[in-house]
Amino acid sequence: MNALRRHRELSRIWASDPGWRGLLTTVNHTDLGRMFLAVAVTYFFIGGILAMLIRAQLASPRSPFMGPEIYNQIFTMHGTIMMFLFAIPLFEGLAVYFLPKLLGARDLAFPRLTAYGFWCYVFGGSMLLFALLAGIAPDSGWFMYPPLSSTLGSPGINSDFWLIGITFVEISAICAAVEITVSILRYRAAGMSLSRMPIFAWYALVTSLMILTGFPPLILGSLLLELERAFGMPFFQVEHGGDSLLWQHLFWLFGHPEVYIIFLPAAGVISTILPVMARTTLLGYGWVVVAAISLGVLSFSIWVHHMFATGIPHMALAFFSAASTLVAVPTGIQIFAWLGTIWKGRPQMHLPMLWIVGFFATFVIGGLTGVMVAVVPFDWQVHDTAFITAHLHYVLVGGFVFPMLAALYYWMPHMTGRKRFFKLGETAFWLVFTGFHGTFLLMHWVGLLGQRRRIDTYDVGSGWEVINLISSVFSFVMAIGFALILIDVIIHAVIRSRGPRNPWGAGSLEWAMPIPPPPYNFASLPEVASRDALAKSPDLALHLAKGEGYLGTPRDGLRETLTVDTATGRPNGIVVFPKNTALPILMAFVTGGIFLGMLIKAYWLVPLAGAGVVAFALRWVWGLGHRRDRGLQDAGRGLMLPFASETADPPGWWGSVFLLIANATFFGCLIFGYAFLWTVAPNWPPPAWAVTDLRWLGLALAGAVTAPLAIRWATVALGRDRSALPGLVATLTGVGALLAGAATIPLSLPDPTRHAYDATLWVIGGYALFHAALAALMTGFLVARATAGFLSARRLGEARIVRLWVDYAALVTLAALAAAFAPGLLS
Amino acid sequence: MTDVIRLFGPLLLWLASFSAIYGLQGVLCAGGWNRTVLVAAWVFVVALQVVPLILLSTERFGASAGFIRRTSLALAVVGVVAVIWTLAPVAFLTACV
Repeated sequence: MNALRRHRELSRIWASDPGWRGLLTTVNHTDLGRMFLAVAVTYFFIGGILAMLIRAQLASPRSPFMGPEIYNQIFTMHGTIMMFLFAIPLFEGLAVYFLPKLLGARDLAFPRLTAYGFWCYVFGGSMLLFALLAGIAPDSGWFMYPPLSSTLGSPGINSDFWLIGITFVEISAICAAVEITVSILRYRAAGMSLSRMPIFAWYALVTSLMILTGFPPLILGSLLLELERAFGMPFFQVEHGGDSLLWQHLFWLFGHPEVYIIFLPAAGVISTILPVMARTTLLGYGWVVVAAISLGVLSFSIWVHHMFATGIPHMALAFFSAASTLVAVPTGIQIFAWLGTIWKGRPQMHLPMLWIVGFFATFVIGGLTGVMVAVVPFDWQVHDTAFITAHLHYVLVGGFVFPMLAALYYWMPHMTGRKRFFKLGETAFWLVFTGFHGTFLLMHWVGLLGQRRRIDTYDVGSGWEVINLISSVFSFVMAIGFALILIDVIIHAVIRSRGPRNPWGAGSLEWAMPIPPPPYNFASLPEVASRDALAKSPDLALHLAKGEGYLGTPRDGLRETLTVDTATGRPNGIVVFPKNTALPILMAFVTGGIFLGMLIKAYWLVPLAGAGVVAFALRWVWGLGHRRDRGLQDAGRGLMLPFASETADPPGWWGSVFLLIANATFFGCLIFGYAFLWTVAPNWPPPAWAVTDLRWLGLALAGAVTAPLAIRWATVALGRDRSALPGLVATLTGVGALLAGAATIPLSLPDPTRHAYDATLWVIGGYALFHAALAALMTGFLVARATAGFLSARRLGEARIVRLWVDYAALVTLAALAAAFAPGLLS
Repeated sequence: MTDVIRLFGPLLLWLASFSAIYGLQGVLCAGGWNRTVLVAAWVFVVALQVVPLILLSTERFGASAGFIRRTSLALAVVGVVAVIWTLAPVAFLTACV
């Protein structure tokens, strides 16, 4: 097969459906990456327009431009859009588009999940956009502190839009994080050991793991606040044993890692682009990896530095102050590695490099003011002032937007296959850079003079007038700069000026393919022996096009790629990807019914939509796997490999592991919230402890022992080519006992509105009940799969996946029962 | 997966220790316990944090590949520094004021 025929055949196999239908049914990562990026950038411009409205309002004292009701919605939506609908999805889009190309694969691990996540993002974001246009947008600030955001301070539907819409969008983030983690660990080029991974992949891995553990606290907080608002469960009401500080803990447990979730991908972009611009390799690759991992984990220990002014004891403040100063060290290591890279190379001031230099100047200032506010006495002085607004914009715009603009200009030729025509980008850079510093440097000053953040107006004679006016003028200069960038991109799209394949002379794999990229990425999959495979072998693209890599011969019209051993990069399986399907968009639409039902208080819709989601999910997974063993297959270059569905740890098993990590974080936060209320909130202990019949506890305990043992029995039987059905039936019995045990928790507390204790145990019980039901559903599904012939000694991956969920259900049910009934039993 | 655990494990242990000591401080303040418990817990978690450093430097538990070995050891050292630095306030500050 010659290169052209291979290209045509692969294009036919991997192409999206034609026309508009293709947008709705595509599961291809290149399409979905572009769609993510386009929607995220749209939200950036919407958020930017809101920012201009804020600056217009603050340009003069006693401005009649807008009243506080509208202003509150505008600044809340500005923050919300930029954080949740622009920054995180932009990272997702970047990772979805580039990771397989950087890693030498043909797609991400779970293409339909990518599509499902994208549509959840679109539908969830649309809810917030609708609220904004209808004038009923959230208005309690982007971190939604109760009681301001509870029914007491916000009785309308405004806060519900935030709590429900953002949670819907977060499904997208969790989906993307699972997807990216599994893809980086398993879907790489042959020979790409961990030490040979592109540096961006390390950053994306750390970021994804942070999303998996950072987002659950916010999902939990949003759930609790919505339950309080909708049903009066008093998690944050002091008079009923709640505490509004619990929200702050849960929010910032998410919120501070979020800052690094935003910064780390940008750091990955810089670590990728800077060496190319400096015509060298990254200095201290290993140290940068250490710094990225350290930063990722350390960032989980500094959430309380947003709460220094809440009256927390000095010792606790000191823990978080110390941790906050410590994160400056890995950040500094990265900065010095980048400076050293410039030093060691011969930098060229192309446009991406200009943005990187802008990043250095801006982010370092933001980092230094970050160290200032990590020191408790200083933080007390500037807390809730415009100084903090300035600091966070230096960090987020300098640390994320500028590097992403470097990425835009660096990879735009890759996405379009063209070169820039006019030099508008350079002018835009200077406008944005000057405008940004003119706006926000001054904001430090006015903050130190005492201007509080989020005020809608101020008095004549406050001493802030001139500073605010200058700040507003510069903000419009910045806006003109961003508009020029948009025009530059449009011109780039309109004028077809063909560019070279590898315009920057980069060594990474994404340039070893035709540009714009074909839907299959690589005609055959590369084998790499270094971090910069293309630099070592400049003809790599040609060799791959000729089919000299792996999987160069299309097989039965299947979409195939390789999986590798995590550490060594040794190929160990062939994955067959699903074809185009409308299933993800339909399932996201039905998922939206759950959230819409809660939002408009049409609670009948929630179980209906939930049942729909279950039906779609079953349809989704039923199409996977085979009814017969296929054995080893030719992967090219003389290598024989099994299909991934015939390995012990198929991609779904890895996905479940990481989803369970997110899930366990959610449960851990729930237990933390329970312990926090117990030890810190006033009005404890509750009026009465939960009690139950010990026989129910015995039944649950029996279930917690039986279910995990029985699912193992089923798996072992499968491995010996015997029937799994007796083990699965025993598993169902055990899971049934778990269900009964978990149900005793809400049944023992008839009124969840009585006290925060009752309310919290309802949620804990509901969580256990949900997981026991899920384990029952999955076991039942496994029975059907076994009966239909989808399981065998080779194909027991599905049983191992269900085992994970059964074990988890048993563990959380036991933990929930202990949390619910131990106090009553002990007292 | 083992290498991923080698890389992330030491700092996750530190995160667990940090959270536990923070929680213990809350319990101590709520229950009026003696502050010595906190100092003892700090000493314990410092000692505990040294364990992965020792384990990862052995042939049995450490990685064989040079890059993972060096990186995991460096992260284990970060863990030890972090547990000493971030929890040092238990030795110097009053617990509940």
